[in-house]
This record gives sequence, structure tokens and C-alpha cells, in this order.
Amino acid sequence: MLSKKLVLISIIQMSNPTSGLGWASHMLALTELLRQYGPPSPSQPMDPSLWQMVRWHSLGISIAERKSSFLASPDWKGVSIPWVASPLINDLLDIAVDLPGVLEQVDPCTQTKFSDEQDSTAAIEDETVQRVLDSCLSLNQNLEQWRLELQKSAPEPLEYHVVTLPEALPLEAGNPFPTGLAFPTILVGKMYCHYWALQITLQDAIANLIEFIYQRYPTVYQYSAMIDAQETADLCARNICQSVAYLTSAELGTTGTQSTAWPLIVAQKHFRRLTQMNEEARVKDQWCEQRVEELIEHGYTWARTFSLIEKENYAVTGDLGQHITQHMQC
Amino acid sequence: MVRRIPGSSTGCRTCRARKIKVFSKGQHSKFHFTQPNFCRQCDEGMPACDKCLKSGRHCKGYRAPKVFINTFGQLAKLAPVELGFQGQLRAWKNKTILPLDFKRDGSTSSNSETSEDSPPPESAPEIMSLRVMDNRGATRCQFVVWVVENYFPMRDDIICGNWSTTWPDLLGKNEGLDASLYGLCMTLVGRRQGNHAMTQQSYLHYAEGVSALSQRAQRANMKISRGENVKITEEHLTIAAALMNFEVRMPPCSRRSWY
Repeated sequence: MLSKKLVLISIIQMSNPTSGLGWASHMLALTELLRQYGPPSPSQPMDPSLWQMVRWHSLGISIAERKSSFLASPDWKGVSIPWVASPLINDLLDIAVDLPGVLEQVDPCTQTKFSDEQDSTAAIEDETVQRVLDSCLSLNQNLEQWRLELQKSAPEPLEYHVVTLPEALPLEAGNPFPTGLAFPTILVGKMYCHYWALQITLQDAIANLIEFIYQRYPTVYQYSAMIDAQETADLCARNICQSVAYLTSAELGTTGTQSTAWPLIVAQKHFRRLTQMNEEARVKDQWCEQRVEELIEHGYTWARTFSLIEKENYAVTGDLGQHITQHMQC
Repeated sequence: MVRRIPGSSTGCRTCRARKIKVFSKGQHSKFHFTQPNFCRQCDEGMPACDKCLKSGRHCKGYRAPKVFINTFGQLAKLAPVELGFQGQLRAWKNKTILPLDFKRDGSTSSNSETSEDSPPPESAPEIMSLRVMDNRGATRCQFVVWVVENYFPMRDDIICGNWSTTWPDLLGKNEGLDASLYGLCMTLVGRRQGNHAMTQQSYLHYAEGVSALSQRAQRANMKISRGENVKITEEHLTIAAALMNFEVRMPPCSRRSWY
């Protein structure tokens, strides 16, 4: 079955190499290969950087699909590899792989929120909502714990520093981010940006979930918790945008560009959701759009591809074979 | 006496553009303070030379940007549209070699035909020929190493956990993997430098990688049909990862549905 899929993917690639569907196709093929390969182990080694890269991309696709991945199962977590890089990024990935599964649980609750049916909210039991909220908060706690570990693990604090960007325009001139963040190393910058991107996704989900609960039990506590989650997501999105100047600096070469794309797009999507309510968010969204264009100019066209991915038009969900068959029939 | 290779003179790019003389080995003691033109010499200081510092100029450093001469330039210009996939593969297998003096716009011209309007030396990038050698693996290795060294700075904090920096170590083990990485590096450079022909040429190598992977899959399929166990290796994963990374730099889809 796997080989048939790969052959079909190859045929599609050969017939239409610039269709833009290649990333998703290869990613799914790669994920399938990885599943068959099994978790890395001393008897079955894998290059640590390859393992890390595949996990990040797989996580990106799972979050876009909002569907849990086999990588979240215990066998695939805590894989012991003699890491050259900081094991903290591996730990972050071990926590992050749970996020798509949590989003998968949140969606049924939040989607009924806007349903026309009067009793749709009642269809979901309170226990279910509470269980989903607990999952979210547990994941949030794990992420927070990881951030504290990051700060404690180094001999000197691995915090970021707020700096004034020499080329930045003042706020009055239309630049929503006149200051930037600087990191001790690019690895720290990459870890922070990915942590913030994960937090945005999680906090948006928490805010939506609490809003759903607020519809049933409108209390001041629920309202304040919802605002807290939204503000945390907003802060994380702002931090990502402030890190772009550092990560895309020339001295970091293509490495920084690679580390920027996904967090930046997550931040942009956060601002885009707020544009209808907030003029400032519209300016920030435009700022992010300009940075995405710069990434594309630097050869990282995936930034545009990934920014187009939405759950509703993300056709890779479900059985890959089915979609390929449809494509072949067209 | 061994003559210096043309274009290999040292000195910062600013001083070279200003035709400032450069110290060579052994000259410091000989000319120090006694050379009448001493004040016109670049001391190659880091991060900026003394000459630039004193004159208040921006010292452009010592690493000139490089542009690869595309030996398959005309082929690449035709490849995706006019040759078709099979035509590209045939052309690749025939190793069509075209003139080295390939320009970014796809035209060819001799170096001697450089007009007086050509850009000044300081803006002219240093050109590195990507020659098609008899040993194709050596060509690919040379290119991939160059890309990794120039596009992924060799700093400890950048190397750590960055898969891209392992590309040179992966070469020479598998033809499909070599082609995938070669194509990946070529599209990276092509897109970064705005060299459309180079980007298009990378499709050839990408297709070669896909072909290699699908052949492996077909062999695996045959084994499965015979009831044999098929073991996925790290090489499979690496080829797929390289192809996936290639797609990261492909133009986005304009259609709503990807399939």
C-alpha cells in the first residue's frame, strides 16, 4: 500500500511538478515512511537533526489538519538519542505533539457555538467540555514548565532582550513593532518562537472553549479567563513579530529564515482573526504579510503555501489514496 | 616564480574596488613605513580594514558574493515547458553541455565581450563555474558543500540540530539522495539569487530523486506481493525529506484545492 502511494505521488509530481501540492504529498509520504520505520532507537538509529526536522513538519501539518498524529503516542515520545543539540527542543516537541490531539477535541465544542440549532450547545455534556478544558490547561502547564526549564538550564539566563531596531520606524509612522527581541543564540530564538507559536494556537483554543462555557454559565470568572487567554496569545504573537528582525538577519543565513516562517504565519493568522474587531490588528496583519513576502523573496516560498493552509480547504485530510484517486479521475 | 591566479588577490572589497594595493606575504617588513604608497595599502583588518576605518568608508569585507555559471543554462531555459519531463530526463542522461558563460537572463556571451557599461568591480559578484566533470558525484558534492557553507553559517549554535548542515555527509551513498540534495541546493541558490534558469534546472534533479524513490517503492511493492517483509531504511526517509524540503521552495499553488 505504501509503495502504491509513493508511486502515485511520484506520478503526480512528474506530471505537474509546480502544482504546489508537493509539500503535503511528500510530507504525508514521509510521515507514512516514518510510521513504518518506527521510533528511533539504538538498534534503529536515525540522524537526530532529521528526526527533529521531520517532527516539526509533521507537527505543522497535524496542527493545520487539527488532527492527532501517531507521533503523540508514548512509543514516539522521549526517544533517547545522543543529542548534539540542546535536548530542550526535543522536550518541546514531546509536549507539542499533544497539541493536535487537543485541538481535535476542542473543535467539536467550539464549532457548535455558532450553530443555528438552539439545543446544539446542550448536546455536548458539561463533563466533556470540562475534560477538554483540563486537557488544554494540562498542556499549557507542560509548556509553561518547559519554558521555566529553558530559563533554568543554562548557566546564564537564556532570556531574550528587548532592543531598539536601528531600521525600525517609530510607532507613529505605522510600524506596530518598533522594538525587537535579541537572543543569545539562534537555537534559543528558534525555541522561543516555536514555543510562542504553540502557545498562540493553544491559547486561542482555550479562549474559544471558555467562550463556549461562558455561553452556558456567564460569570465574571469565565469572562476574565477568556480575556487572559486572548491577551497571552496576543503577547506571544507580538513576541514572534519582534523576533523576526533577529532571525532573518543576514549573519544567520537561511537557517534563521527557516526558523521564522511557521511562527510568523501562526502570528499572522492570530492577528487576521482579530482584524474585524481591531484596527491595530489589521496593521499588524499587514506588517506580517510584508515579512512573509520578504521570506518568499529570500526563496522560502513555502511561507506562502503554508499561509494558505486552512482547515476548510486543506484537502490532505483523510485518506491520501482517496484524494489521489480523485486527482487521477479529473 | 609562481604567478598569482587572476582574481585571487586579497584585500577587502572596498579597497579592491578603489584599486588599493594589498600587502602580500613578506611585504610587510620590506615595505613597512618605507613604501611611499604605504598609505594606499589595505591591511586586511577584521572586521574592517584600517584603510576603510580611517577614510570613513563602509568596509565590505572579504567574501564576495558568488554566482554560479549554469552549464545547462539553455537546456534549463527550455526544460520544463518545451522538453517535457521525458525530454528533460533524456537531456540529462545525454549530459548536454553548454557554454559556461551563461548569464542570469539565459543568454550566453563571451567574457571578453564585456562592455564599458558593465558594473564596477565592487558590485560584480565573484563567479564560480559549476563545471560538469566526468565525476558527477564530485560536481554535486562541490556544489552542496558550497551551498551549506555559504547559506548555513558554520556556527556552533546554528549547526546544532540543523539537518541542512548534514547534507555534505549524506552525499555519495545513494544516487537518488544525491540528486535530491543537489536539486534542493540548486533551487535554494536559484531562488535566492533570482536565477530562474537555475531554479528550473533544479527540477531535473528533483525529478531524478522522485524517480529513484518511486523505483525503490516499486521494488518494495514487488517484495510485498511475494510475501516478503520490506524494511524502510533511513535512506528512504532522507530522500523523502530532501524532496519535501525542495517543495518548501517551490512556488505556491494558485488553485484552491491541492489535489
